[in-house]
Amino acid sequence: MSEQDAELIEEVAQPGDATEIVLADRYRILPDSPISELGTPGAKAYVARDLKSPNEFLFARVCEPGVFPRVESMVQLKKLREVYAITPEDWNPITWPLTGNRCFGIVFRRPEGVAVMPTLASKIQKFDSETLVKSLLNPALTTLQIFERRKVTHRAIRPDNVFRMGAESTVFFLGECVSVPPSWGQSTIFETIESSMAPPTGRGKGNIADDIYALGATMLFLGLGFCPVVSMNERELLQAKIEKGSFAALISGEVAPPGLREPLRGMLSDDPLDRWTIEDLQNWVGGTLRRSARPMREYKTDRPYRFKDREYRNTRSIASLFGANWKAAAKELRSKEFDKWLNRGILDSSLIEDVTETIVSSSAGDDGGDAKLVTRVCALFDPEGPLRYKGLSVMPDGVGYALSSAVETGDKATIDLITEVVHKGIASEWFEHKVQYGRSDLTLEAKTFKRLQQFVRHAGPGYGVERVLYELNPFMPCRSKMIASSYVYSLRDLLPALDDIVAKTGKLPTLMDRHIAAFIASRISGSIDGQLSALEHSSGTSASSKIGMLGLLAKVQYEYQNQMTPHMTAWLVKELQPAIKRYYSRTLRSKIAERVEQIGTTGNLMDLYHVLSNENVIKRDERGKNAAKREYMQSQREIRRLESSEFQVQAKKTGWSIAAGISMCIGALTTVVVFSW
Amino acid sequence: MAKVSKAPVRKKRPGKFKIMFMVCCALGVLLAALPSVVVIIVGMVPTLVAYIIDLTPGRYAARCVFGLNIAGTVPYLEKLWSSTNDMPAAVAIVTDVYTWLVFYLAAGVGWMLFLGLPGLVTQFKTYAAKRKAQTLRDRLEELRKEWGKEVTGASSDDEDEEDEETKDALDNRADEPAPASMTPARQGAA
Repeated sequence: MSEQDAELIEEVAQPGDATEIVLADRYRILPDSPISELGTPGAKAYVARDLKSPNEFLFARVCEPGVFPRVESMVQLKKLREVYAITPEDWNPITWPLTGNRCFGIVFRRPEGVAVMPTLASKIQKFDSETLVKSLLNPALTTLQIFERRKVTHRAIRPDNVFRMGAESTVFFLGECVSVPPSWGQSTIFETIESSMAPPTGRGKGNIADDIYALGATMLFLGLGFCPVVSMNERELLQAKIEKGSFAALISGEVAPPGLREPLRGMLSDDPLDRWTIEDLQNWVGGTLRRSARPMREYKTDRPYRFKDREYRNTRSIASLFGANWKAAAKELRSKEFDKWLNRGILDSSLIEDVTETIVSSSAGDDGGDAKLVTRVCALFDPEGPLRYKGLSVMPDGVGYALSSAVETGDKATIDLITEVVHKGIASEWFEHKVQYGRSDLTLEAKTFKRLQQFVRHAGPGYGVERVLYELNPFMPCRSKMIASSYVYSLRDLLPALDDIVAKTGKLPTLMDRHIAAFIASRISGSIDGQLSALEHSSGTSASSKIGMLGLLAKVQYEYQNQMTPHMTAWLVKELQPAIKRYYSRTLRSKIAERVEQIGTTGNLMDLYHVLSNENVIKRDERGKNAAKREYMQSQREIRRLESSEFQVQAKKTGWSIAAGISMCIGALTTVVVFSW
Repeated sequence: MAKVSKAPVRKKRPGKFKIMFMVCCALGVLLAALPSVVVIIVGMVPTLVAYIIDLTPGRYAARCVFGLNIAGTVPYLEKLWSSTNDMPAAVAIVTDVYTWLVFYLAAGVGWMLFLGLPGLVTQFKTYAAKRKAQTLRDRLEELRKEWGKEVTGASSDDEDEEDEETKDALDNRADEPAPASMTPARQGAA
């Protein structure tokens, strides 16, 4: 134990100061003690201590605003000891004293050893093949196998994120992977061609084949003792990977570590179907032969394709180019020159047929038709590549991350494009196309995007692009401006956060908030269609929209029944006074007002919602009003009749009738009496 | 289906013979009961006059006079029939001044009934109608107070009492779908 560490232990034992951060009531984070070597772009590292066992060495990653960690992966990896990777001990949103913002903190066990390669630019003593297999490949395979079983990917395997277990240990383990989105800050050196074609925010969590690729590249550089392509820019490297293949591009003419050439070639294969799997690698380590060779997908063209004064000899490059220049590409695709090149330059007759059919069946002239055409042709030219639409490029599972990043940075163009992709069914169609071409693992995504399409078709609160955002990012904190600084990523924290705002400021800036509605709609269990429908069919400031929003909040309180919100309920009672006036009956109004005042002190939103939107009472009130209207009209008619001149005439007639009747009776009676006497 | 004859049904007019027969019968009866006819004709003159001058719809004046006029005539008919029932007896009755007094007094009471009773009835009915109208007005006021001016059929623009928020609430209510009910276990308390 170093002197510095001993000092830190003493410091932990002392009572905390004002800047002390305690996570989950157990882990103390020291903002004054950053650890630069354990930091990563988007999440800095700090010394942390376990208050229950102060001797344990921990570190905490504190995510920067706008960086959303992989909470779903944390849940799977929490305190997982059988993997050779840094796994999270605990996590929670914290108030970071250096910025004053709420952000996400994650506590990990601190590696005793250092990174095997401090930076990618470093030159180190090269590792021999045996050491690489025993120290890195074997532990990594065990780890990735467990990850695969738990449906988690690492997506941050690189030499500077691989650590020795102890200072002199010969066992390596993988660094942490959950504090930033997948592939965030990962150099394209360690990304497959298809992943490199998408921006870092749109790469998605990928699959275990992506991790094997990154592990292959890591092993290659550790075997060489340096990274030969560190100085290449991303575009050049991608072009080199496409033209020469990843293995050749990454090794850059160096000599592969002896004995590792075959597995490294397999791990760095550019065809995911051909890339070695965990089982293949385990077989190779065990000395048995790997699987038989599989047919490689051919991307090379027979003749070069000329576009914008450059020649391209690979359909993947052409797809990438078309994706980036979609308007020009749409014109090009409908030109005779392209048709000529397609029939002469590509050997795969089924591809020619598919592309020709796509072009012929597309509608020319409008932007939508052009964009769709380019998207479809790109998918045919590069089946493994990202979804390309009007310049947007995202991997199948990267749409959610891309959208969250766009929302965070206020990139309206990307938000609109993603909305369009979902709304016009381009994403679901793209996934269905992939499923048709054998990617059965994308069936779920195809269904998901069909469902999302329905959400985007509705314009009301609780739907739209906000709903898509929260559906695709299940642990994304609510981005409502009201509570953005509170880092509310679970529905459990929503009501306390809103109640806090009312307690501090006396009111909410607005009750109706699209982000909050969408956040609740995507997180809550059970149906809330009624409340969402009420919101959709009412204007933003109307009483019914406020009632609809109250209904959503009441649903949340129903799910977390111990969360009473006295401040917010009291404010809502004032805010919803117009809602009481929706009732026609004055007696009912005063009764409801009295009841609402009582509820205002209890903090019970469910009761408030029920009182203000009781369907039976509303119907009874409506019926009562209609009956009163009828009665009013009848009474008015009756008064008019009673005061009319016709009534006087009628009365006179009645008088005459009576007089005549009396007279006749007297006459008859007299006759009877006289003759019967 | 039997054919329905479209020819208009001819109304059988009483034949000349029948008319003649009826006239003869009437004359027969007139001659046979001439004393009674004389008394009735003389005694019912006020009714005849009332019938002629009565302009009310339904001839209520004539009816009123007739009832009491007959009541005044019947005793003399009975007197005639219980005596010799001949013309001299009838003439004796109709030339008696007290008999005339009774005929006309009875008819006069009939006229008084006709002239006086409707006024009383109208007065009574008007009074009852006023009371009923007042009760209805009170009810209208109650309805207005309970349900607002909308119940009168006035448009929301006319509602000076209602503030803007109420108007807004009323406007919004129309397009508001029925709210989804919450679980009754917790809401029952409300």
